[in-house]
Amino acid sequence: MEKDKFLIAGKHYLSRLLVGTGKYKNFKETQTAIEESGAEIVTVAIRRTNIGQDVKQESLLDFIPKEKYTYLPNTAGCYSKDEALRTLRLARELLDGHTLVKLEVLGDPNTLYPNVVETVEAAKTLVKEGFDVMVYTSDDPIIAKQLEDIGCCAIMPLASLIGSGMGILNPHNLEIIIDNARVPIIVDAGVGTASDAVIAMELGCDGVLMNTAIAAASNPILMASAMRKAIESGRDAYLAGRMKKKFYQADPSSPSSGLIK
Amino acid sequence: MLYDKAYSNKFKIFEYKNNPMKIYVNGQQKKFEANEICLTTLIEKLVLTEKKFAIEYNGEIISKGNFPKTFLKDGDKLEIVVAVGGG
Repeated sequence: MEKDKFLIAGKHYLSRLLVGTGKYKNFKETQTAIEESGAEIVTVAIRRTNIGQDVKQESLLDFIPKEKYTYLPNTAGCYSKDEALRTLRLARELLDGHTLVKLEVLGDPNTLYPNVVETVEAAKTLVKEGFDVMVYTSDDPIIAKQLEDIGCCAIMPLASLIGSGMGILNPHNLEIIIDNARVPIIVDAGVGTASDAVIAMELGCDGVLMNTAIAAASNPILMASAMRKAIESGRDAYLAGRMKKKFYQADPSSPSSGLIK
Repeated sequence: MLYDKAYSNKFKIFEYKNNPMKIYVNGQQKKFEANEICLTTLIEKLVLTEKKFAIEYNGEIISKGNFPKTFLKDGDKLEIVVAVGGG
């Protein structure tokens, strides 16, 4: 069976699982987990470098070569449109003109809930400056549509709070967003275990982005593998077209005729 | 004339020795005695080992090609950023 195509900003990807690089014990574990996950798109954060460290200091990008992966610089820690713009302009410079970015403008340091008003404003400017914007947002269908209309190349509604592992709290809103969308919808934030990823894909999401679910598992490498399978099985189940749910009425699988009497 | 020139040169050396250039890199104050430091030289002095980084110089992103042409002056603020792990 031909693999169904996953298209983001004009490029095809085989994997519908996107992963983060934070919270791992070391770069080696990060690298192994990402390999096990099969992910091709990998998020990174942009931060000040340590000044005057020793020459043997390793850097993250050495472990996730650009020949193999597509980087997705994020705006984690940004609470305003200006902070997000500044961060992504720097990211574009440091990654030699790379334009695929993850926009997130946070509203509150405790919940890390997105400030959608600032997000919309930031998205407008970024799209004008030629960025391919994958935007983290709430599960508000109106905001999701606005962000699409602005020109974001993918909309990324949260399942639940970042790093919370609570899973998909509002599948109905996600379904509304998916129904109305003409760009990829990628669930980002709150996935905790494999079944959460399966549910997201069964709802019709185009992909799932996760970090903590893998990095904070007791066995991150095994969880990365589980997530790879979860994304694939959820997507296949969606494409296969599930049976209808029958409430209040059973329907036997074995024949009713020819019963031994 | 000769006397004036010798005197003013001596004065300049005196001035630099007692007023080192102070700049801020990633929020840290750095002092430099020399007077002509471009960004390329600064990166060497800071022992920056990362291959991929970007520099914001007084709020403006400077492309790598312009590092040799951008000279530091007293009070400059620089942000040097790299990619790190994140979700």
